Amino acid sequence: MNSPNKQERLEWLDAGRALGDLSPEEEAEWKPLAEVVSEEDGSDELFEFSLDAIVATLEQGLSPAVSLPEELKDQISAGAKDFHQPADREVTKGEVNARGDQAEEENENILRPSFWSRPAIGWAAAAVLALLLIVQSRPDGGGGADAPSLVEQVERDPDLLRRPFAGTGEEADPVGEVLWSDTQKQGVMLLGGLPENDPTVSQYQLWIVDPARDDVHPVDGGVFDIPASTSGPVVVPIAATLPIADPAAFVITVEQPGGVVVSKQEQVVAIAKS
Amino acid sequence: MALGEPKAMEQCIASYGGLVWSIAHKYSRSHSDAEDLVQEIFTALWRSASRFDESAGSETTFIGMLARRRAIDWLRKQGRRPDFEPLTPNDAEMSTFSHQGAAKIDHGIVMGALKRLPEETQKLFRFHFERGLSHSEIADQTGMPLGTVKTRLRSGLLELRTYMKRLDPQPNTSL
Repeated sequence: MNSPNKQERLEWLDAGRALGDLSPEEEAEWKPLAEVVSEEDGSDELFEFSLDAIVATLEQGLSPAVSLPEELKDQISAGAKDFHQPADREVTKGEVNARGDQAEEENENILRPSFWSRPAIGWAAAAVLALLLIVQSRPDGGGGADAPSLVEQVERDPDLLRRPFAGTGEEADPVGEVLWSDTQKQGVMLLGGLPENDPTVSQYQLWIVDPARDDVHPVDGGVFDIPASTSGPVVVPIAATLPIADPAAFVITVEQPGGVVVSKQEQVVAIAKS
Repeated sequence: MALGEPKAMEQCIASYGGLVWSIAHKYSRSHSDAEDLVQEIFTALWRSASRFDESAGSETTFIGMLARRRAIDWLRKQGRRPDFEPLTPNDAEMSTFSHQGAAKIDHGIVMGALKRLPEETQKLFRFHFERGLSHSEIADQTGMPLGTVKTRLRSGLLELRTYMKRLDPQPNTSL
């Protein structure tokens, strides 16, 4: 292989390294080739526009703008302090108990949000025995005590989109609706009639069909669970992983734990559409 | 930040937490995985902070490169993406991490060059970078053979760099 060919080959392999798709054979080829080209060429040209840096910039430029969840942010901040100030003591039992108490308190707080009693949400009011807030498994799903206020918040939108859920003839007989605020770019699902799931076996996943964005691939709207203790409708914040422009339908599927990037739609349990 | 200055670290988390979270989110498939990966990336960042050289590239590029490398390495450790054979363990170690060659990487120029690529190549880039799809997932989505996806992404990246060189406002002083 002459020098230009070697350089071209090295560039090709560099591109694979930057994209992270080198085969083991290519990986083995890359190292000696990089040394040879570097010795023969001695030019810095290849390094002027680092492919790694270009890829990192693409990653940044094409990624949807998201915020680090507050809870995780706090954990990282604490970790940063520990990184430079290694722990010199063990966590006391009292601290553990305090954390447990706080968690129990939070569990109490997620029950019975006040908005449910309002007549505006009437699709299953008669069936309500209890109301449980579902905390989404996905990071940007919000949840916790914020969800009831999220419902109130989206309901303030005068152009609020409401779409009732319908079943698909599967075992589940879902009732409920989607509330989506296009202005606020956020929404929430009020759901009943879905069977409980074991999160270690499968999870529910929401998909948002948005032809304005992509008429083939729906946007991942987040993963959630229906706990065993649920005897009434649940409130699930929508955690769209990409900006939504004009939602045409909301589809709930059953997927593997953690959800999937692309659904095969083998088990569609509910659809809400215009 | 390299000195462990709390305010600088807080500022770093506030400024780049979203970027790191976005990358981790794309490369993991569950909430807990993404959380673990973000923590791993920031730990690597605290370790590597002293290697940041502003003359070699921007802070955003440095952190983006580091986050992506850690994410790819994390995938490898998870045994995911069989078509995705990324860095050797040594390469993935932050002790060898460098952002040499990033000085001329300007966000506007990169995105401008991207628009010059064929529409189909741009679409593949969006699948890969926006959605975090692996090559085989892209192949499933598009119906293209896996080898074609790989080839088009690589050649697209090299083509993009060529456009960037043309768009580079600095004159070529070597002539």
